[in-house]
Amino acid sequence: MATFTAPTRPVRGGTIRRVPAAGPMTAGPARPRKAEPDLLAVRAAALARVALAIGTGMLGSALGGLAPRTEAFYLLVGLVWLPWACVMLLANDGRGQLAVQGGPMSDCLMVFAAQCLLPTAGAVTLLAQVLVVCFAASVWPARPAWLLAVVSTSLTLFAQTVVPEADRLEIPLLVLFGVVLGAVVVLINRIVSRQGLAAQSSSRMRAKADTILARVAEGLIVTDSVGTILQCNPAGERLVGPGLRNPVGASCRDALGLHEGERLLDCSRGCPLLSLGGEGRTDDGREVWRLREDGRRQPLLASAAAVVAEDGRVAEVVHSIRDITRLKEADEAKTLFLATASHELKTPLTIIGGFAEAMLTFPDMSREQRDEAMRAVHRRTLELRAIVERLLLSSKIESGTVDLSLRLLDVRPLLDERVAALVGATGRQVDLALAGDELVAVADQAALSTVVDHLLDNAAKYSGRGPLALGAERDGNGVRIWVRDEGIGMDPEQAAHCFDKFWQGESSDERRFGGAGIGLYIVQSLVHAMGGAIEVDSVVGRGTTFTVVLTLQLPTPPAAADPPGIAEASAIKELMRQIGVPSRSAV
Amino acid sequence: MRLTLAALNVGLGLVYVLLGVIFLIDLKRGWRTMGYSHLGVAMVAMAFTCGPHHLEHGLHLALAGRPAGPMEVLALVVGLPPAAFWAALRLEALAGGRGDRFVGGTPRWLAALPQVFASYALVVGATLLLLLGDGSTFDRRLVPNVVLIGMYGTIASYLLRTQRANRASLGGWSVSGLSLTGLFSTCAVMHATWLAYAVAGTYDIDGHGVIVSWLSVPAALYFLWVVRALWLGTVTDWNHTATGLVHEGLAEETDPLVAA
Repeated sequence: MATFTAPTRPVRGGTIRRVPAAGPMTAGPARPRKAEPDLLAVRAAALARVALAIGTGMLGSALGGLAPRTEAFYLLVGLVWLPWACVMLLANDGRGQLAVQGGPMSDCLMVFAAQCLLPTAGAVTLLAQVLVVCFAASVWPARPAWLLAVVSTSLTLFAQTVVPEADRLEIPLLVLFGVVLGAVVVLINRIVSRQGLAAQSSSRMRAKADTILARVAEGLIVTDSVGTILQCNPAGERLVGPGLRNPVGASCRDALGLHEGERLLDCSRGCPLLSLGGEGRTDDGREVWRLREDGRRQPLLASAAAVVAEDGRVAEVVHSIRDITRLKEADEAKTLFLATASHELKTPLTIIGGFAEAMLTFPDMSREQRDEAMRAVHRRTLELRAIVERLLLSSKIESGTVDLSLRLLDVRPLLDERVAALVGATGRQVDLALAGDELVAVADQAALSTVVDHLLDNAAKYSGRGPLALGAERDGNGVRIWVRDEGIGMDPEQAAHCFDKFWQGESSDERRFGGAGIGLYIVQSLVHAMGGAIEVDSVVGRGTTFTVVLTLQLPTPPAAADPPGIAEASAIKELMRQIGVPSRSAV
Repeated sequence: MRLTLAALNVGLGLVYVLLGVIFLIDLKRGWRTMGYSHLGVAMVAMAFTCGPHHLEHGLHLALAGRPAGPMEVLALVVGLPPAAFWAALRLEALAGGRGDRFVGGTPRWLAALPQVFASYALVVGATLLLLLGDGSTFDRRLVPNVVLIGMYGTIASYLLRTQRANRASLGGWSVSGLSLTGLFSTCAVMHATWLAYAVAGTYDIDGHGVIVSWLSVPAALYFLWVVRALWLGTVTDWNHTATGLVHEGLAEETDPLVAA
């Protein structure tokens, strides 16, 4: 029998301790408790009861020349037991106690009726009573089952007093009947209690384990001692990737291909993660990587724990592997952001500081010189504010708190206004080409202004004094807006990443244009939020064109159910809808 | 009157069999993609037991000279409109049409229907009670009829419940759903009239009728079980979609059996 020997390790200021498994061992003094009744058995019994009632009723209809007592029995079956059996069958669906308790009770009374009205069926009715009590003992708690056994015996004895003396059962047979009934209750109760307890504990443990394995974000992969994968949770399957649909049976080396530094970890002679130590090892695991299908490295944090057999050898190894790609990316983004933001903030701050210092050092400077210095400080302050506003907007986009008021908007006046603003601020010449009288698309006015401003700023920044152009035209699906410059342009690699956050076309040590690297990220995010699309077309040395396509359709809410009167393709589905049967999820 | 009643019964029987065939074709068509349909099979079972039931009545009236009681004629005449509406809508759907009509809100004529039907059932019930005289005897072969009256009434009440829930969410009524509800209600009354005439000794109990009635019992029970289970969501059928759309209905709180 294997023993789980997970090492105790500190986690978030605490330690994972071995918690005793829930179930009989932790339930205190073991007191057998009956589990939930077997609803499948109750349903099967309900079906059998209905079938028997219908069969008996049909038999009653077919037989002729019956004695009054027999006739009364068949009427009782048809008019009382059959409807009651139907109710029991239906009640079973509601998972109520009516089906569980009402079935055996009615059966017991029905057998009693047979004992009174069909005296020739004496021995058969005893067997029927035993069967009824057996069933009750298997689905009822012990006390009610005992009570039913007592009632059943009493009714049987009472029935003997109302049938003709010639049809009465032998006393030894009745005694045997009572003994058998008691023994049956004892035995079945004991078996069912034990089974219920074991099943309850097992299903609870299994459900708990399944839930943990399925929900845990870490990939858990269990291998044998030579690295063959035995078990894998969904997160583990995702790690292994779509290339290997079912990793069970594959070798850990082939499926995962973990690398430590530049060395491929070989599991064929025991899991190397178990023996790794020294530099690079942390209490939470070890940083390794694997090659993804796209050829990029996937950084992982891996740890392993051995499941040791009784003879002391490693029987299985439980690997815990966490994908830390996002953490790494976030870390890199944070570093990049700090470098970019500090660089961008430093330039205007240096200039502001310089002019302030000059004004303090030379209090006698002329009014013109002072005004010039103040204007420079003001200009740089505006630059600082713009940088901070972009960073704030980027943060809002990231957290999803940007509220857009989408409506059909004529973009023509907005584009006129934004171009005029750029021309007024920079004195640059912008060619404006707006085709069509009305250029209507779904947009948010403020967001579209931000998009156009950023694209125009970008074009102005990277084109020196070269020509700029902004145009808009009707597109089949809405409006197409483009901003073109004839500046430095981008190569395909740069164009592919230009919308990434904090990305800059030039490395930080050779940057000529400044900027936090979030303008195009903001533009793309806002365009997507408005239901539009953006694309870039660029050639190094010849310029760049950004094209924004906005649609005419407002985002639609989730489709509602079809109103009546629109027929389903299937008559059965249509009927379900018409009689008000609710549609349900297939989950 | 006897021949008219016979013709109506034969016509009704043939329509039911035709509907059974329609549902059977639909069942076969959808089986591969959507699997087994309890409602489909239950409808087929109902159609193939109700149809022969009416055919048997019609043939006995026409060929065996069974008398036609006026209350039975009345019950059949009242039951015809919902049956005809429902069958026509099913045929329309089969031909690619809408298969339903929508009644917005609750017009006066619709609001008055429950009272009208209750009055009708009361009058029929009282008249039938007057039929039962001293010579009346309850034969055990009439048991399935009694059971069917109860089942059809219960099915009708479940359907009425689902229709009311539908109205709450859609703001109107499905004509097809309402006519199916009416069909089951009037079927219950038809069985009651036949039962009363048989108990009173006006009608003879024939073996064919008894067999068909007994076969109708499991079919009706299955249909009742399916409608209820579909409503409670305890059975998987073709209403289970991948859209995740869940219609909140009366469900468990209002079901007396569930509450029990």
